[in-house]
Amino acid sequence: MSSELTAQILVQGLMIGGIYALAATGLTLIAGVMNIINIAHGELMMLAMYTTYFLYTIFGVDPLLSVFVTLPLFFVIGCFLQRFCIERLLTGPPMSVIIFAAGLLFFAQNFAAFWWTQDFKVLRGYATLTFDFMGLKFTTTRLAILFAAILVTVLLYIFLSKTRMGRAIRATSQNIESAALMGVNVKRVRVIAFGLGVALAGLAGSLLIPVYYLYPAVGTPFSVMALIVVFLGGMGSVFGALIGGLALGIIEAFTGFYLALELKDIAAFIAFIIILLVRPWGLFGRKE
Amino acid sequence: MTSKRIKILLLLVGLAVLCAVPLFINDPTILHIFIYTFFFAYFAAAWNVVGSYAGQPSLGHAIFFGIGGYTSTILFINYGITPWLGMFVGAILAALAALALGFPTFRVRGPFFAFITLAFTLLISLLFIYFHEYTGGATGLPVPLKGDEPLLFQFNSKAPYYYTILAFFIVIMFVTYKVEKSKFGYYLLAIREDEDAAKAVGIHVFKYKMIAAALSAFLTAFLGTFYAQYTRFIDPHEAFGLWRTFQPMLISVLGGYGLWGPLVGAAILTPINESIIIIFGGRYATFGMMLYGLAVMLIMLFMPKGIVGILKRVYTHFRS
Repeated sequence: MSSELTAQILVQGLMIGGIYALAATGLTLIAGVMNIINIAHGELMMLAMYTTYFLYTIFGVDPLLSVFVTLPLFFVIGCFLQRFCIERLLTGPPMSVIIFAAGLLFFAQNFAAFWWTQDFKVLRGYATLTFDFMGLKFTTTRLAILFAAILVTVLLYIFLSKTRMGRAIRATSQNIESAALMGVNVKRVRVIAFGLGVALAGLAGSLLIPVYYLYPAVGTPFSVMALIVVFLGGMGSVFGALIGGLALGIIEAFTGFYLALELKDIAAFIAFIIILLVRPWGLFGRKE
Repeated sequence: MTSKRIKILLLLVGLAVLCAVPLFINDPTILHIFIYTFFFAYFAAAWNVVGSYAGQPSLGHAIFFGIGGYTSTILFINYGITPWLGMFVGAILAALAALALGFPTFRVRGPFFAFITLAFTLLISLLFIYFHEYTGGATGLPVPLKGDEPLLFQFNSKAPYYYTILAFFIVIMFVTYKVEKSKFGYYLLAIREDEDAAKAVGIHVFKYKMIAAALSAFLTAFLGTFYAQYTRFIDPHEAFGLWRTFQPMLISVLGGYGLWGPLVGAAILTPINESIIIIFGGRYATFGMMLYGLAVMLIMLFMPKGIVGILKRVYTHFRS
């Protein structure tokens, strides 16, 4: 096969991968700090997508500007969830958080279906343009999302390595007892980290709306893919999430092309199973 | 009378009442609620063997449900084999699938086990969509209508379906009771409480997990066939969807741990959910599901022992 075709599939994969990476950064931050997976992450993205949609249709707010609403709003939602719900589940059996999040998943999905119906909604804020560059086809909106994913990763990395709070978060995810002994308020760190993770889900939701049809179950594939990316990249590894997301996008693009479009996710699921069996701490994560 | 005799008497009276239900209730919608209550109770009870007793939080039971439903339906469509027989073929296939899946998945524990079984469910779902010549793909398979044919597991009224699921339910309660009281059951409890300690005292952990998985899958597959025959339809979404995947775990959690948890969980939530649909119409199905999700969240936060736990607390409160 021609190298041009390979390159085009690669570009396609990278653009999808950007979406997965964006969806996974918030999840991996939470996973690193608390060793838990919020399987309702995609559902929070879905709620952010609806928020963005209604901000545009009711108040005429540009989807890109609505980030300034969804980011703080979902930060607060996340802080509340952690402070009043997740915190008390952390001491329980390890499955508690997952079951709670499953409840949240079905609650959020059916909440959306009940109030806003199952109909598909489309937000026509941005025209999706395709342009050619060096003989390859690019989609403007998807390319923007890829850059956004990289930008978010870099900003998050700077936050985690340069600020006091960021260092406290990293210390907590490395060793909770030592962090507490060094004077880190672990409980507060967890609230901020969860808030930040959910805020990133909100951000992802706002940014993804020009690319996706909106319906109540739109979040589930994001939850699944973000979960796989987090395990691929290693729980808590921010750059791991970016690389894992891009890798997953590329894998998916190639399997979709060579096997069948229906099977495009199959390689991702098999990779997930192998990772869980062989390296559950991820490709870039640390073994506990 | 000893308390054991009272218990047996109560059980027999309860059974007699349940058997008499269709004699007094002719309304198909109310019978439908009864059928679904036992349906969900059965599902959670079958899951319990692996999920509660052995403490392995499986998200793979939708696979066994689907294998049951698809096997009997495919055998019926292509070879005219009655689902009563196809049901057993499906159950054997499901048990074999459980052994094949258990081999890799039982190496991981706790939440990781939940995720890896979830990954397999997603994988199998894709395969069922892909091999559409056999499975009907994403649109699924309708069960050919033959009219009122008891030998083909097709009835025109609800009452026979009610008796079928009631019989299923009695069987599964008997099986789980036997498991709970057997040496095998105690091995599972030991594995649930502390796997390493169980291994240290000489319990062959992997072997008993595999037996539990095979038994649980075998029982779950029957329900898949029942579902296909009752709704006369099976598709990947109903068989392997996210809701089906989490269903037995959530009912079990809501009801509470132990023999009666699944029935209590199903008996309280199913009637609420189904009557919302019946009274307010299909659009409110999502409202019922919303309450379901909310109930799961609240139970986890405030009553981790489930509804059975609350009932027990109330009971001891009034006795003392």
